[in-house]
Amino acid sequence: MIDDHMTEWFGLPVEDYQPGAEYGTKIHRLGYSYDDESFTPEVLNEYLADPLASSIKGIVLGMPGESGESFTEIINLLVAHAPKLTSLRGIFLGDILQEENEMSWIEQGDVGLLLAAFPDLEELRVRGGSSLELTPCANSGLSRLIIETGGMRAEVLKQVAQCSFPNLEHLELWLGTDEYGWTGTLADVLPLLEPGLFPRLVSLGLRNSEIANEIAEAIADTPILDQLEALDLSGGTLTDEGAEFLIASGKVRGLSRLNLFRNFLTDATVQRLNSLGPKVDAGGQEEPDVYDGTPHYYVAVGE
Amino acid sequence: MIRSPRFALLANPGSRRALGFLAACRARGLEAPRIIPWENWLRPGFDPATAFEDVDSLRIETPAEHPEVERLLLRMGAEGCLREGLYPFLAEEDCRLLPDDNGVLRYQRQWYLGWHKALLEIDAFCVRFRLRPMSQPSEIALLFDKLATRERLEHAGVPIPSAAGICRDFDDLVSKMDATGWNRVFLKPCHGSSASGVMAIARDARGRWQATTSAVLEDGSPAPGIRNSKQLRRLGDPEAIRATVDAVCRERALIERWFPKATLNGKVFDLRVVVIGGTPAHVAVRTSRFPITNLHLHNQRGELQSVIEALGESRWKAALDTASAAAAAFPGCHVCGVDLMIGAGGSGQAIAEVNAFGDLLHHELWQGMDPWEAALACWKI
Repeated sequence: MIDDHMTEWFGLPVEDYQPGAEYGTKIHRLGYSYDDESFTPEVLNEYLADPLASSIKGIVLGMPGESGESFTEIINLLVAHAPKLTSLRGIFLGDILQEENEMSWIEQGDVGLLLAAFPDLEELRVRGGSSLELTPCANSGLSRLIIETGGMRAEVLKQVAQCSFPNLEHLELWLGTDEYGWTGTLADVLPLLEPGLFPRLVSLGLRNSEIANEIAEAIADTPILDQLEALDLSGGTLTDEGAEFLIASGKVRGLSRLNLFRNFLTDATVQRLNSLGPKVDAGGQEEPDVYDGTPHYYVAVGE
Repeated sequence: MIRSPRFALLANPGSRRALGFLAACRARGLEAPRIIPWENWLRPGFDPATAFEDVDSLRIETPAEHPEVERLLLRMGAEGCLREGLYPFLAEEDCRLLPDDNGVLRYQRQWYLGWHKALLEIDAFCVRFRLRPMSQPSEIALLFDKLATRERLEHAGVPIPSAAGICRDFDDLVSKMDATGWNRVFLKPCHGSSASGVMAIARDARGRWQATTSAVLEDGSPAPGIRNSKQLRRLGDPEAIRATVDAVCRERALIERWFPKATLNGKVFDLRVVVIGGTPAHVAVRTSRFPITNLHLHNQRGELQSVIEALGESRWKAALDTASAAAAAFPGCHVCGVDLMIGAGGSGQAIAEVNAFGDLLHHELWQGMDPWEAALACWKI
């Protein structure tokens, strides 16, 4: 698959916004790009100020500008227009591809403000971990929360754990590497594995992590697996060693789906995982770089 | 009756390219080419008349990867380089004492000026001896100057990334990035080959810098040179980036805007398309987890097939059309290696490079022929 910007959401096509475009039948993507440098926050302001904006179901934001400007102004604009964006169910902050900007250089802001301002929001996707905050809040509409980073600050994990999302079904966090902002340890991840924290949670992703082996060991026998249908540890540095804990776990066998795409598993281990029971995706396995005889494992998105 | 061509081959004997071409001639049932070693050709006093006797076609292969040939070309470029007075210069008499390079990038402008002079002489001999070169020497010379190549492509309406001209040093890079508003650029040595000295450079609003390159600084000098380590790495320290940029710029380098490339399952890719006689023939996919793809050539058909499937028929056709258009801008080149980038998300294309000697693709067959055989198959005299 060619990695692409979001093309479909809530059953609607996602298309780059052109001034004069119709509202309602499509979801628009607004942002600065190599081919179209015209985007500024004022473009977004005008887009949201249109009376027809009350009909938009979702909004996708690309790059705020050429030089990695912050999403803070964009977040503030969305919050300011929130009262009349009554149909809005999805916000994607940072639909930015690998070659457009380094994920760890995307300057986010406090996305907790969005969750507080849009109580009916169903899905929030955030890409980029720099300056990312999630001021703890309650939101009973939210069912899907996805935060992709090349390196997540431990503080953000704490903030997520302090939120009240009674209807959250899918939680996906890309933890990343300490070279690009990951400041946590396993101890920061464990509170998220408390059963009952998000009572409706059925799908958990702890992706792109350089502590994937530790996570696999810790999660293998935790009660959270009893409520999950899907576990996603893809894009990390999971090796056979970590996979052994998953294979040995009775609870893992009870999952419907186990995503281990793009780690560092050997064929033999992949075969054993495939016969565990859950539908396993273990494609795209990497081999470590070897420098001076020492293997070096790296996460999928670490710049 | 159609006569078989009789080739002269200007090359470094024993090189993979020379052997590949000889094997292709045998496979096509042609008379063995008359081999003219660069080392002989470039030596003062060489007589081209005997070399070109009784041949009608000329195949030119790269003079690279041969220390003595490098010294001879530097000697030829000495006068021009001295006259320009802009780039590192090695006096004619010192050229023969130059030790082997071991991957060091040095005297690239002088080398190019020598190479350019040699090629223009060959052009003149081709006219004099009624010889048809497979690739016009003057066009080969043009393809060894990235700035001139860009101008040719731009004039032909072929999509290329925007450029901000020749970069003098890091400070100049910063002022050009300020002036254009580009925070993501490629720095490319004008006369380099493959990824030698190429840097992918990004900065952001918070003053962070990042550069990806295979160039490493040679230690122990106030103006250190650089060496191609053949391994890509990331630099984040602005001072290290400054020193490396300064060193690359000493050899003449240009700034291009960073064209965001497509990725396939998280890996950047581009395509090397060998265009032969106007037809896009062999295609190799080059993938990397870094923004520079040159060092990672993947020739498996499977890989290409997955790219074609991912792009879909119309975008694949558009890509091949762009590659053909790029090659058509060099009508004197029977064979061109076009490096084609697909835009992020899969739409749009731009040309990264056009290579005069871009047809060295191992094990890659098109209609059952390797690139040398394919080039001969549609060569008419």
